[in-house]
Formats: sequence, C-alpha cells, structure tokens
Amino acid sequence: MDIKYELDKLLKLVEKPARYIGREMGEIVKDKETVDCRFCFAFPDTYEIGMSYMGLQILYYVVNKEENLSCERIFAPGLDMEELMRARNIPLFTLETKTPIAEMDMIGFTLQYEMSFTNILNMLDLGGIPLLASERSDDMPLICAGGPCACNPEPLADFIDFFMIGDGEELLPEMIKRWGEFKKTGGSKEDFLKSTCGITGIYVPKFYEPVYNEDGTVKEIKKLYSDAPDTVKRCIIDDIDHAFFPKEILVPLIETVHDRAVVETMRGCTRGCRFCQAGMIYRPIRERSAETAEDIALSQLAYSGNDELSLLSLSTSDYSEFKPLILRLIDKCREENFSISLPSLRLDNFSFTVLEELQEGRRSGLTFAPEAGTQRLRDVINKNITEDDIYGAVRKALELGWSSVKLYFMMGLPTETYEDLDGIAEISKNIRELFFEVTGGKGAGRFKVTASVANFVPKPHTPFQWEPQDSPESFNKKHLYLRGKMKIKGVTFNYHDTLTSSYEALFARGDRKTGKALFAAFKHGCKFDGWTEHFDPKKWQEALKEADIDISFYTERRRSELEIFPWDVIDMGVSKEFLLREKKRAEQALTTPDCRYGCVGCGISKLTDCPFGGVLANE
Amino acid sequence: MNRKFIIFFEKSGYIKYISHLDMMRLFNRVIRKCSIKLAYSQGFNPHPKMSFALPLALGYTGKNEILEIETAEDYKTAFILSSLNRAMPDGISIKDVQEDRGERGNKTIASAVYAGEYIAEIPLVDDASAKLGNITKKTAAFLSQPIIVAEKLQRKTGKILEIDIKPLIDTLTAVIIDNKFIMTTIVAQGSTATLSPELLLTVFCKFIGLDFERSEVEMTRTQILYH
Repeated sequence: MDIKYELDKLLKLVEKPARYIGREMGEIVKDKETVDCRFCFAFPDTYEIGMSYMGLQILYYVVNKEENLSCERIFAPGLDMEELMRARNIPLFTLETKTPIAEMDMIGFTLQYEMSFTNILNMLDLGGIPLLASERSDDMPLICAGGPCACNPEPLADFIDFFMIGDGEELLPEMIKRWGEFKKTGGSKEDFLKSTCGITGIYVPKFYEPVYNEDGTVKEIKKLYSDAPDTVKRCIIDDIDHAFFPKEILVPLIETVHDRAVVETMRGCTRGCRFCQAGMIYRPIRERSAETAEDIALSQLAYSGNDELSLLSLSTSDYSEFKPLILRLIDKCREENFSISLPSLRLDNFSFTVLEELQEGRRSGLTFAPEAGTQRLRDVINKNITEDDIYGAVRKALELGWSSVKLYFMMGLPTETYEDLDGIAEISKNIRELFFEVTGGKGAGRFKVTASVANFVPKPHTPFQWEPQDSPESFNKKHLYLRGKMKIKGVTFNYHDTLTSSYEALFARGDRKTGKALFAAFKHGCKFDGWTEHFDPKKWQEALKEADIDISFYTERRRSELEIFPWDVIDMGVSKEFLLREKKRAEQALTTPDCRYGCVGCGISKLTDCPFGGVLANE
Repeated sequence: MNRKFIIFFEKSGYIKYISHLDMMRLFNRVIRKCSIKLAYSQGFNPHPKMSFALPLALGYTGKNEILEIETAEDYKTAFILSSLNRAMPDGISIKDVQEDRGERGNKTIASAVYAGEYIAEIPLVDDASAKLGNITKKTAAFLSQPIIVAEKLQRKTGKILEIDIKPLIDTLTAVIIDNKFIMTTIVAQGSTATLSPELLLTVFCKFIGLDFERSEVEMTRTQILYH
C-alpha cells in the first residue's frame, strides 16, 4: 500500500495534521538500503507531549549519528486520526520515511508514566503487530522499552521482548547495533535475547517466571534460562560530562508543550525525599561541567533559533557550578535575546538575584513545593524545607513585588492525619496574611495564592514502596474536607482526579497479573488514560473484573517487610536495606540529611563511584 | 538603519500542513537562526515586524507566497536568500528577495492585495470524465449566469447566507487532463472582498455535476496579485 498517497487525503481531514508529517528542522531521514538496523522510537502519547521530552532528542541523535543505524519516530495518533487510519487500513507509520512500523527492525517505547501503558498496546495494534510477545513471529520487529517506569517492568512483561534499565544513551545504540548484526546471521529472536543476558541493564521478561503465594504475593521469581542474571543491574553512565548530548535538536513545526533549548546540567539528586522515585533511581549525582553545559546550550540555541533555554535537572540549584553557569548565561541572554527558565529552583538569596535578573520587571508566579502541611509530615517524607524557609522566601518575593504564589502539596502521604491537611490551609492563609503585612494590602485584588494537591502514589524502589495508598473514598473525603478549609479569599484550591491516581498506583507496583488487566482495558478501547477527558472508569472496572484483579490488593495493602516484590528482579542500585531503613525512620518522623553532607549508605556505591557523597561534610 | 524586504517563497510537500501561525513561528525562528535582526514594534508587547501578504489556508500548496519583513540592520538580498534557504526545512524554498524601497509609498503588499490565482485538482474515477461532457461549454454557461449564488456560513450568527459570488470571480477555466479535473481561477482576495476558492469549487462542481470529496482536492495558489 502506498501510505504516502492515502496519507495526503487523511491529513486534510484531521486536526493538527503536522503531527504526522515530520519534516522538522533537525530531522534525519535515512535510506533504508544504507542501514543495518532501523529503530523506531515510540512515545506513547501525542506528538506535542513527546516532542517536549529531552530524552527523545538525546536518543534520536545518539542512534542516528551511527552511520549504519537509523532512528525514526512514532507518537500516539489523535483519536480522529486513529479512527481514519483504522477505517482505511492504514497502519501506524514512522514520521521520517512513512514506513509501517511492522517493517522496522526494532521498536522502543519510552515509559514515562503508567497511564500511557494502554497507548503502547494501542500503537502496536495500530501497527498490525501482535500485542503478546509470545505471539510475535521472528519477522516482526523486536519490541523493547526503557525509561523510569521500566524500574518495575512487570505489568508490561507479556508485551515487551526486552527492557533497558537505566541510562540509555550508550545501551540503546549498542542493542540496535547488536540486533542488526544478529539479524544478518539469520538467528532467531530467542537466541538473540539469550545472547543479551550478560549485558548490564537488559531484562528479558520471558526468561523469568514469578511464582505466587496463595495470598497473591510473589513467592519467588523463577529463572527459566540459567544464564539470565539473578537480578538485572541498572546501566549507569559514570561520566555524563563526556556522554553524548545533542547540539542540534529536532525543532517542531507546530507548538508543543515545551519548545526550547534544553541542557541537562546534572543527573540524580542527593536530597532523599522519601516519596520521590526519581531521587532514588537516578543516583548517584553526576554533573556536566559548566563549560560543556554552556557550549551545548549556546550551540542548541544557534542551531534551533529558539528564544528560550531551560536547564534540566532534578534540583537546579544543587548543581555545584550553578552560580558561574547561570551568570555567564545571563550575560549571553542579554546579548542574544533569549530567555532562561529554571525549573525546580530552591529559593535562596542567590536564586532571587537570578530571578530578578532574568525577569526584569515581568514577574511570573513564585512556585513552592512544601508537599506536606506540617513540619511533622514533612519530616516523615524527608522534605527538608521548613516553615521559615517558606515564609522567608515568600516575604522576600513580596518585597520584590511578586504577585502570585503557587504551592504544591501531596495528599495521602504515609501517617497523614487531618491535622496535616489543616496545615495546608494554614500555610495558604498565612501567605495571604504575610502579603497584607508586607504590602499593607496594596494590590490585594491581584495577589493570588494557588494551592494544588496531588494524590500520593507509592512508587517502587522508594522507601514508601511498602506503604498503602489511600482508598478512593478516603481521597474523596479528604478532598471534600480540604475544600471546606480552603474557602479562603484570594486562595485557589486545585486537586487531582482520584481514580486515575489509583490506576497509576496499580501499575506502579503491579505484577504480571496486572498486565492482563491492561490487555483487557485495551480491548475495551481504553487509551490516553492520563487525560482526564479520555479516562473511562467504567471500561477500566470491566477490565479489572475480566482479568480478576482486585485493585485494592495492589493499592491499599500494606506490604510486609519480608515481602518479595515483583520488581525485586531489578536492581536500581539503591539497596532494599537502605529503603527499609528509610521507611523506619519515616515512621518515627526522623529526617535523613542530604548525602552531600555525609554518605547515608544508600548502596549505590556498589554499582558505581559516587562522586558527591559527603562532599559538603565540612561546610 | 531599518530596511524592508519582500521575500518570495514556495510552500510545498508535507509542510503545506502547517498553519499560518506556525509559518509565522517558523520564519521568525529561521530568521533568528540566520542572525538577521528584525525590527520590533514599539509598545508594551513588542513583536517582530514581519507579515505574510496573504495567509495561505492549511493544506494548500503555495507557489509564490510573499512575506514582508523589516530588519533593524542592512542586509544584502542575496545574503537573506541564501541563508534562509540553507536553514529552512524541506518544503519551504525562497525564490527571490527584493528590497522594498517604498515604491508603493508606505503601503504594505498586504494592504495592496486584491486577488489570488488558484489551481484545484481532483482525481476522477474511471467514467466520471465521460459523464461530465464538454467542460468548456459548461464553464461558459456557468459564467454567463446573471448571478452565481453561493451559500456562505456567517460565523458570528451561525446563519447560512446566500451571496452572489459572480463579481468576485475574475477568471475561471476548467480542463480534464490525465483523468484529473483541473480548475484554474483568479478570485478576489484581500481586505475589501474575498472569495474562497473552495467555495467557488463547490458551487462550480455542483453546476457541472461533479461530485468530490474535500480530502481529494489538491489546492495550489500560484499567484498573489497586488496593486
């Protein structure tokens, strides 16, 4: 079938047709005859979201810079496009060469959030590829997946041939190259997967079989192939300063969520917030030098013509060269007329100086994430921010003329009581009062406090992986309670949809049995579940019933300290002993300091050197 | 010293599926990338001085589109032409760059536009061509009507209005070549009166008895006409 001819007709009928055309600046189109292995990077959400993801840019170029490999892209098509494609039998195709994805050699899905899992199944189906790995013949592409959610790959184990755990910029091209070479020898997928078993970071689910206890928990994880590793160690790039980072980037032709130059200054975080999966699974901290970061930033800006630059890391101001780097970039941004955005900035004095410099009179909102309403609960979650920190920074901001404050909290954290919820209202009210104190009430009409409350989702490989999640009823009750408390003049209160949080929790800590529910949900037409307008609780309930899944077993159950987890086969580097120790300290509301002030023994040093453990010990 | 330039370009291939707004963003970005400094408007929210003479509908190919820019510095037209061409993605090609030395006084091309020339192509199924009969005669008959009524949706009220489009049609010819129906027309476009070539196509095809699906029409603008 000539997709290109048919496609031209479809593009005239759909919303935002540019999602499906490629042809951006930076796009690399290779002739299939000249490459050994054709890889397809799959983002299981819309083009606009996927193209805002920096990981895509890195992997796209790191693969394409190999002459004999190619990387093309696919995204989840919009519902209107999908309908037309299905009606006219047009399979999902890559943007670069409009190749049906079943003709590619390897397809790799990025797992950024659990609620995109049904899109993965839908995309395979749209490509005419059997969903179950066991039903795919050797002439079908190899299907792999990586990204943060791969740290518990089990819900997707039936669908994916192999997972890549950890840093991908070396592992992915290596695997594509190997598959290209292996295919030439005419070997089977099975033999190929066996041959990858020694590679750090590779998990082949078919070589393992979980055995369950009668109560549904995991009894043991049985190996079905003796050479498969007992646990799969995460792949870690020790030196990101010399790791590949693109200086040329794909520049979307249509507006995307983020459309800007991005440089990663550091990977990992030392703060040790107990709810935060990223803070655990990206250890240890690895930094890019300020020179390299600046060079990348300026090259990207020059290449793309972007007028915005963002620094990417889990905690912008913890980057040890933040000060010299940002001062140099500020000079540059004046000369060359671009703006700089700094996510997750800690609001100390230097940050305010920087923000004032950057915004020059145009002040956007001040953002804070206290996460919990009382000091006790903040100690439980190890969020080392005090009320003095919050009010001090807000006071400073008000003095400088800022007129809006955004606050982020979580609800349903372990040990939470209604007193902690009162604390959320308290902080919002106090900030409002602080405003009157500082300004004497001038401009009170414009001053806005927005408090957003997300539902806590316990994640694997965190100290809270043993903890139950609040039931939907409990969340609803708490939302209602807080809504009453938050009826404060000048304060806006937002909260998150409860049901999606339960499903997110289900798949975050799901086992292979939950994959059946995923399959059933796909059959019922579930897709784009992360989008409130598309999430359909009725279909999901049907799916759970058919797969015989009791969701509360996964979400609301407190796990025993001895329990074997489905994801125990994956070794992210942080030891289970450390996580358990942190869990116990949380129960006593004991904080654990940032490990730059002294190593806290998280276990990562067994996998790699930890350059920042204790570096600030003498300060 | 500020300078004004007129950029003539083609928009074809897949890139025809980006909107007018996206074209603005693209040109802005590429001009920036080429280190060409645009002049900015004064005021609270300054924006670069850059505008298309006549927006092109999404999905249309444009053979000879026009962008007007004002730069804050002096540049050679050849430099603008070659650097933009190097930086543009596939599908946009710059044909010519001319300096606007004020021949139209201070008027922009955008304000001087009065018409556009369009070609609409529709692939025909096997026997459609025979059924249509003599296209030239039918076209003449279409044009010789005292008035040509088209139904137009009024956006504000949601009402369907009947309007006479005859005065808005400058030229219209139709032929069938290689089993393709091809309509070529010049229609009024601009600030005073505008006729969408798609509306004309609909009315015309109804008159001659040709059914078509919107998604099958290939629309190309070949010229923007201005005083």
